Amino acid sequence: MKKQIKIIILIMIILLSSIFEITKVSLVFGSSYTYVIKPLLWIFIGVITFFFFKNYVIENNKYKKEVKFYVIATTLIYFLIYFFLGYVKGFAYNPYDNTFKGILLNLWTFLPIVMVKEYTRFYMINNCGKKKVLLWAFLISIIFVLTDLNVYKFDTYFATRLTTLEFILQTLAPSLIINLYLTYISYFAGYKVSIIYASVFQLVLYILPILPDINWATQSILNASIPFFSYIYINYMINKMDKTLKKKDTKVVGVKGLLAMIVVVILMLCFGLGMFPIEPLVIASNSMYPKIKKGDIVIIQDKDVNKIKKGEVIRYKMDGYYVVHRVVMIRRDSKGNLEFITKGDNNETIDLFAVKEKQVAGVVKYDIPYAGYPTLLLNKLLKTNVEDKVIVDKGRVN
Amino acid sequence: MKKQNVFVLLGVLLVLVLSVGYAVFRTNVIVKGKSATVKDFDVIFEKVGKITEEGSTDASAVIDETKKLVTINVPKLMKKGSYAIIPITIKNTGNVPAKLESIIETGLNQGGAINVSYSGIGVTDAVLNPGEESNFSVKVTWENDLKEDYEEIEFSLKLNYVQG
Repeated sequence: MKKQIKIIILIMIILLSSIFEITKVSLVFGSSYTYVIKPLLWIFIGVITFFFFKNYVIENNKYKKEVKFYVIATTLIYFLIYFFLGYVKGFAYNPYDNTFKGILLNLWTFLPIVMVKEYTRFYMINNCGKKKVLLWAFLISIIFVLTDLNVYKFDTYFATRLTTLEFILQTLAPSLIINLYLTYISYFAGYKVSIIYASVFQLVLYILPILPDINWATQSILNASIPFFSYIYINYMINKMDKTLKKKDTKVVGVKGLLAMIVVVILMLCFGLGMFPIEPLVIASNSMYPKIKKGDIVIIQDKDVNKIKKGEVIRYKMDGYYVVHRVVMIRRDSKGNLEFITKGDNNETIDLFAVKEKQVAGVVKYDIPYAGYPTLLLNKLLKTNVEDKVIVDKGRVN
Repeated sequence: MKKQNVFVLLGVLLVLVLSVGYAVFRTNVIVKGKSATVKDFDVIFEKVGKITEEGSTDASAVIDETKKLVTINVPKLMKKGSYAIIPITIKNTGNVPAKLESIIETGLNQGGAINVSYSGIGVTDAVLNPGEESNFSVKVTWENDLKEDYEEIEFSLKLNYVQG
């Protein structure tokens, strides 16, 4: 049987591994599905792969040693950034069972699956032939992305356009980048190296009692950017060793370039985490016209509420959105807490209710005209109704 | 042999440094009283059911966009004994069986006059498997005498799950 046909049959078997979850038969088995059936299913796939390809051991390991080194370095860099983010955002308790029995159980449910996946990936990419290897790499990566997706979340993923976009950016794209990276290193260095990248980090998560408390968005950026930059660097080094890199290209990406890219990633992550005391906000109405217009981006800075003065433009929280208006009066309520009476410059009357201390979320420091129009357009396409919420501009009893 | 001894010594020193470093780290770092976000764990608030009210009007419950927080609002309880019961459905959309570790309430401050109780959920060994849903209800009752004027009741709930 042709090798490509064998690969296609193997792909179909791998996709069938999710059949229990898709048909919700897994619910019948309860926790036995996660802890017993699923690992055994993947071990079965591993056995089939072995028998399918046992006569075809074709490896492309010219740069195995170098790629292995860079992958281990990448894994270490990932750890360093991940735990650095813990110092920024704080730590929280590890939800995994850290008892000895719990760790063994988690290893049993995780290791066979990741080992078989990488073993299968290695055999598929190294037996698909030299022609159209990029296409096969993409197809193989897509298959493993599909196995990574959480079937139980499918109805959440596609509930609205916004959740669909979140799914693409936070789940699909990082998973695709990781799987393309794993396929790439599997091709150049074998399955053992891709097992290292795919498993070491998760193994540490099972063991440590506390973990950095970072949100999904930040984790997605980290999961996508680290393998991406690692691929660029490894590819550059391979081309350099192959002497296929043109002289002018040696200046494009080098160690300095890689370090610069890592610094940019860290800065992006820190900005997204709110580590810097400023953040941007897109203005969706003309209530502050002409000083601040619809489509502008304002830079918001944290400020102690006791230091806010009359005339300053503040941002305050409403039910699910923010309002940016000017303080026209400051007073205290019956309990001595500060209240801010606010008004949009372009509105005829003051806002309906006073803004409480706990609603205040910073003051406007700078205004960047028109910079927020792409975001408004995207929100319109996603129908998040941002403009409708902001136009209401009503206070609420709190 | 000499080179080997150097490596052994370095290895022992590394273990010592890591152990001391970790001990210092654990002593000094502040850990939040909740579970970290990891991809295998994802128990969400799925939906809010029909609210039952007695001596109460316009009670509501809103699940936030992350589906990890529900904000319950009971604007008016007429008299002592009045209540609102809010049924909520949760779902385990993660990959790992989970059990409830704690319920985190924030924003409730009525001096003990208002009681919030839960039915159908608790910190037990009961496991919610991947894909499974579970229903519970939150009852907000005016139980004791108020020491100050009645204020609108609003509080948020978060559920902290760990591996089951």
